[in-house]
Amino acid sequence: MAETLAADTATGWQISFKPYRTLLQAGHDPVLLFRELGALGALTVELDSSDLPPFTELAPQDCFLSWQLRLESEVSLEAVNNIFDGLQDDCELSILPLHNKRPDAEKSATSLPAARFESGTEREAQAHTEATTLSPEQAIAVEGQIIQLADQLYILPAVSIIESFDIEPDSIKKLAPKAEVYRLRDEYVPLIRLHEIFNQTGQRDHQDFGQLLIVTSEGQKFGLLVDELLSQQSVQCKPLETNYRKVRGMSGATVLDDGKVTLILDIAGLVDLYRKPGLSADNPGSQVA
Amino acid sequence: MSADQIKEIDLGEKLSISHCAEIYPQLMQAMTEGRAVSLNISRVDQVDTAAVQLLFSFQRDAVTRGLVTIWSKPSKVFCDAVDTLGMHEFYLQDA
Repeated sequence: MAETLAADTATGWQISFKPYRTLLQAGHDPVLLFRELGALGALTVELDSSDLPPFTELAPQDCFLSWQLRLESEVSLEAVNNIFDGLQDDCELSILPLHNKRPDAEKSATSLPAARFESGTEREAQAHTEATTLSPEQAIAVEGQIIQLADQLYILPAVSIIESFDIEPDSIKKLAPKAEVYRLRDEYVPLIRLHEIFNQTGQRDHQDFGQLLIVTSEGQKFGLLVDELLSQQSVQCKPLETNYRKVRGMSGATVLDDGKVTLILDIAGLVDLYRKPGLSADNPGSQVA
Repeated sequence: MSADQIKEIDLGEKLSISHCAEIYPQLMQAMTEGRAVSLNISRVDQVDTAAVQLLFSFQRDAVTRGLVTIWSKPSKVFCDAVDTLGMHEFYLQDA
């Protein structure tokens, strides 16, 4: 039991790596990839050879193997993404945080339309955007990070989040009354205060504390300032457009384990609202059923 | 079993995807002829996934067919690659 509890609370990443047959011919070698991953933390490798054909039918230069990888480490998603940079055309890849991982989370991850991560490329932006933008016809499973903003709860698709941490007020630079950036190591990222986006004037409004979530949209990093990060849940996302109406900054709604209806945020839409403050962020709140 | 009934294949030092096309027909011939195979992997100092996959597949089917396979002194590099890929030590099995 003790081992089970330890595994459930471990920090790190669960990686599903399913190469296409072309992977090896493209010059990629899982041996080297896994060694790089292993240098980041404790790596457990589980092989799936179920697609390996009989030897007499084997195409020796094609890849028929796939893997489930568990990396226990404090490294960021970006660091893990960097290992797989350049493989986007030759594999299916999903990366999920280990913590709070429920038994059905892996299944949910593989059903995401774009549970693929690449760093520093246009595909990164596309993947993250796709992961947070739902087709109107579909209800899909999403591994959601619940966030608190004043007295409201929202969900961000966990795949959108590169990293999160307590905000350091000294790292905030004000460029104009409504334009701030946050110093993130050796770069500055635009700071988006979700309170302002949603016109929530609670007691924490304009205060410089809370959690900063680093996300990407169209290849650019942004910092989303929220009050608090809560737990993660695998949720069924119902698109707002078909069940209610299109709402900028929101991609859907879901029902949490405790029965509360909660909105799922859309990163690209939030960035639009940040860039064009005149756009309406009409928060439908509890009207959604 | 006499020595001439055993097909000996020296896999050399470099065992990569570019060598698979050369090794595969030799293994295929041994399998179709039902001959015992002795694989010398003692000198392997460079190996990639394609080569490991090839040998893994061969061993799996050799066991099924009752084909005798002898793995001679696997090098550390080879063993490490097999372990890195999450495979069991298939080269320790006697088919």
